[in-house]
Amino acid sequence: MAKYIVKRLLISVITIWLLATISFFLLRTLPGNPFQTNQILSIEMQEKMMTYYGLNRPLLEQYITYLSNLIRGDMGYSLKYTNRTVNSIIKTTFPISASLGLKALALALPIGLFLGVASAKKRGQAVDYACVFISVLGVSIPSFILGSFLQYIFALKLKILPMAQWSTPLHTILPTIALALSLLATLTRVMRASMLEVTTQDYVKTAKAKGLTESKITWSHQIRNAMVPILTLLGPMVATVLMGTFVIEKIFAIPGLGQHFVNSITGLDYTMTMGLIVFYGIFMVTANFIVDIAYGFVDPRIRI
Amino acid sequence: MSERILNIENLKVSFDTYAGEVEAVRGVSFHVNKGETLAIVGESGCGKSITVQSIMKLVPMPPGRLKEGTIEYLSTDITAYSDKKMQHLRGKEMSMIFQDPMTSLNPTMRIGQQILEGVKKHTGLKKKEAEEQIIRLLTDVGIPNPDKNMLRYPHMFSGGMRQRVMIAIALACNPKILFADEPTTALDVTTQAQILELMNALKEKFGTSIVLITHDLGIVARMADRVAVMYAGKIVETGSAHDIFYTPKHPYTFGLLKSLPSMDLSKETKLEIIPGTPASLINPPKGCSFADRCKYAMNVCNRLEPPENEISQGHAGSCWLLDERAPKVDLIKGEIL
Repeated sequence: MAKYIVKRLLISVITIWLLATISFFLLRTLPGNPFQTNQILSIEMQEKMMTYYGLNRPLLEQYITYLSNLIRGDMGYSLKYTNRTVNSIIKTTFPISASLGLKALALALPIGLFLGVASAKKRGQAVDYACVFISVLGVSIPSFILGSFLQYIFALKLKILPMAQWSTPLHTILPTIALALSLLATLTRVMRASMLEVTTQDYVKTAKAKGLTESKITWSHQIRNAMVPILTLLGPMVATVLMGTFVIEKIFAIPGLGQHFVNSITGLDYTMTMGLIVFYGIFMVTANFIVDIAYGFVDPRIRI
Repeated sequence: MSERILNIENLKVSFDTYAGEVEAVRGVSFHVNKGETLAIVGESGCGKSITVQSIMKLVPMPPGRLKEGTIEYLSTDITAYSDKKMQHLRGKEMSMIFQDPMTSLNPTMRIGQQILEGVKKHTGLKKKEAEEQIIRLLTDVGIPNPDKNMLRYPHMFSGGMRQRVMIAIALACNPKILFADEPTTALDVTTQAQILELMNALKEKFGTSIVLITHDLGIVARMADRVAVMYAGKIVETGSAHDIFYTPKHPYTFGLLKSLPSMDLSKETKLEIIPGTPASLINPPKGCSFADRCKYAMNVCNRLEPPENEISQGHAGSCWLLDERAPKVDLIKGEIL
């Protein structure tokens, strides 16, 4: 087990290094420079800024500087937010996105799994159709439509919940629902398919031949076996959701991390983009690592 | 006459599929006496498994459908039993072992727990007593170190060991009848022999009746008291193991026996085969379903289903050749006398 963890850690480091390297060079192939975009700066001024940030030096030199800083945990200053480090931007915005993401997951996970199981148990019946309907709806309605719809009903018409912004717990309800629905839909769909697959397994027939009741079979034989695909899905899902979503944060005016993923790239904010990519990468690798360990708890065959 | 455990009359089971109704079991009747082994023999897809699975009501309905027939267990008609009522019979009065031990145990549950479930459900034993019972069962089926092994998961056992665990699960509550659906097909030959021996020993010990499904005539010879030969959803011949092996009367039974490899055959002799494939069960033929492949087929065979003819006490066959008006045929020489 210890050997496995060490091996996995090493692989993770290599993964992050590859990710950082590839994105570093790819990012520089984008045309333009960070200072010519939204503000009108003279060519000389742009040159000065480039020299100031060291962006005129040979690319390899910049890469080595960046990497050695990164190893020390320093992701540099943002090129757009003057005087703010990438670390501090992530530090202030990530907790907001993460808290929204966790709330949405806490809502979506139990409901999604429950609907998935219920729908598989009542396959072809009204309950099943209702669950499939909800999950198709959740997958196909874009979050900006759902978000605006929720705002219209609950904030504008009923006036029971605040329209936007991020201050009191009441403010978190609408964005949480908007974010949770698509997660819930995916979870329901996967759980349903997984449960249906498990239902046709021989050991379910064995359990039935033992004289167990239907609910006992579902609880102790089907659900645990059906959880493996859910775990696979959950790793990247948690990582993605905690990183924030551009659209929902925009609609509800939430000062989260999501917006930076888009803005930093369109603004050619090299350091910010790199910082986000590396941060996201570390998060994703960790989430998958946890999932790999968790498999063993669900299925003893993949225990390390 | 010994006690009848199970009596099946004219059982018909169909499946509704997009291609049409598949008549998997088309009027099967047989009985099982106390303490005997009945072997149901036939090639793949002839309805053997569906027959026994519908007795325990393990066939998913729909798409399956019990069309006709009665199932009597200890002289009680259980044909219309609800799932709830069946739960008290399954595992306690009748149990089943399946073909593939690699897939028939839950991979995420310790084997002790898998045996315990049934015991707890049917006997209401306390945890301590139940555990002792499991250890006794595992010892009976020949699992070494039962106290340690009951805490292990199925993937830590070999195929043969898993089938032993399955047998322990099946016999946990001392059922009166055990359905064994090709219990050794997925095992290698030496393990096969051990498992069969074990089943025989346990049958003696507990007085359990066994319904053994197989397509291996070697196993039949070794295990069975009586044999029912199935073809295309029907029993074509039934009799004692002796009757079936020494005086088979149905051309299909005879063909099966002839297609067995034998030590006496020289290298040059080709193995006899039954030409053709089994009749489709979506639109089963009007007459005898074996007529197409039968070299003795007469006009009547294609038009009318043969009735069951009693040949001797307990030996019966459904073939027009057994009718008194039919020409006499020597199955061994393949000649019409």
